[in-house]
Amino acid sequence: MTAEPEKRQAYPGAPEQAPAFDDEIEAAVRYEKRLVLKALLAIALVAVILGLRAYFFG
Amino acid sequence: MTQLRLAVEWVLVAFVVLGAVPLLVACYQFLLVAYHFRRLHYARSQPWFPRMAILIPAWNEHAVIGASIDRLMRLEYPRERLRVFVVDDASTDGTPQVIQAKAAEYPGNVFHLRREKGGEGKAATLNHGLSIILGDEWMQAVLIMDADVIYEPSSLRAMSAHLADPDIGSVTAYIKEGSQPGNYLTRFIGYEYITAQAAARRSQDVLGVIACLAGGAQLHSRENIEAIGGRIDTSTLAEDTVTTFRTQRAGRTVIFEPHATVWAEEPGTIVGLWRQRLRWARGNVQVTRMFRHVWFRKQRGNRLGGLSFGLLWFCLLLLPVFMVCASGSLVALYFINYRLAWDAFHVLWLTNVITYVFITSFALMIDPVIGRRTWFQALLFPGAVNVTILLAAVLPVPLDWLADTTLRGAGVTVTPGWVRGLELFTYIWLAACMGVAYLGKLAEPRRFGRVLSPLFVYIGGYGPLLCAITTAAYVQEFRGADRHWDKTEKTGKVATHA
Repeated sequence: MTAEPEKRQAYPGAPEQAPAFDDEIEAAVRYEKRLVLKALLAIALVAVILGLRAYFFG
Repeated sequence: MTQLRLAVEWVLVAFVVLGAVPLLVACYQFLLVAYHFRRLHYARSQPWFPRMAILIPAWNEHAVIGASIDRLMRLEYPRERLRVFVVDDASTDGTPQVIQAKAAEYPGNVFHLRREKGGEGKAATLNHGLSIILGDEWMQAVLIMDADVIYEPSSLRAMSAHLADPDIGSVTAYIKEGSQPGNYLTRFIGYEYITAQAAARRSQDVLGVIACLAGGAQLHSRENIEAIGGRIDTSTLAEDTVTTFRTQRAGRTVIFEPHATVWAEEPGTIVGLWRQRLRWARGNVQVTRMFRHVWFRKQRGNRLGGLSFGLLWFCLLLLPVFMVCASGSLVALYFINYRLAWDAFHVLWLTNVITYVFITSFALMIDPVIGRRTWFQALLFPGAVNVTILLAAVLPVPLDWLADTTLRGAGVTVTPGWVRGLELFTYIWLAACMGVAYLGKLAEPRRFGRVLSPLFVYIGGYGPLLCAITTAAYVQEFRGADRHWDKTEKTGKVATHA
């Protein structure tokens, strides 16, 4: 069993309940990764509109 | 003769299709956003708190400067490593008194630097402060900001964490429109900033080249400021863009930190917006000329000469030219070969539908908080008439039926002449929308301006209004108009929306 590395404090004097620097980075990376899904959703919306347009109106 | 006519027709078609290029480039830019997670710099960043000099140029900012300083003192940053230098550019209002009061309230943290001879522009004001800050060994990094912006408590440390990597020269943040109460125009700007900041800067990060460090949020390492000569360029109206280019040409990387939020008050009137954006657009024309040897040429150590970056830059700068060319060519084709004009228009408009749906829906999802406030302006960004044309392209039969029924109800018989006239109007509108949006500016100071002005912007479009401003910038630069610094008026109505 390996000990989990200690998380770095976000800034000197940060309250204990404040997220650690590493947690903030993790959250930011998660947000950026979710943008891929959002882009795919937007592309899907374009595809649906064009598909319906082609299906109903040629 | 037939061959000449054929050649003319195809040249005109080419101009129409060329009108689709900025749209495709915009889609490409937004696709790059999705790749941003692969280019994050966090692995090389760490909690990093260099001795920070915050430089604020201020001219008649008594309404905002006090609150800004108070906010800076509440940043999550070690107070002993923070010094605020307010360069008072010969203010004639209560600005000096407010700064002096704050200097007394925060001794050792706030400093008042007075220029007795002012009015030389923001860059000259910044240079006054820089010369003093650089004359002292204390400063390890400098944050250049505007007097009115509000930094969220974590934003500065989120930016400075990147400076732990010595390859990074500068870091910029995500500027959001924060006027409270806002109006239709500030909401348009709010949505625009999702596309121009949150999206565009992420995509530039992916390309490894940033076009512009936001004037209100430029963090530089001392090494970087010294490497670019320790001064801000005073020869153009886009000093922040010049600093960005010089940083990258000096071989250092510029980073956009999307999770560092800075709230700014943007103009609430078209006249104010016009003044601000004309300065930016003229600055961009000047920068294009200043770095003419950079475009589309590979250079060692930076990617300013890359194809993708060049396309992004010029498609935005030349958007009005593309619009006018496409519109003019369609009108000419209409009279030469009516059928071909219709087909070329279909290609252009199909690209427009794809771009509009993709960019609008994605942008609203990139920043859902701002998106919830600005969704209506996002939908009407191209203007109500353009959106109707887009709808007609997607739903031709129901809209034809609706138009036919309405006109019949009004006792109007739809003839082929009507239909052709409507088509011609559509082609002309592609460029005329800029003129209609411009009417919003003309109407604003006049009687009924408060009603008419937004109406013109909603009908003509906020996007076309920006294109009209770019066109005005071409004209002013061509005429060699005065390069005086037209300051945007700030009233202190900015607040965080978090």
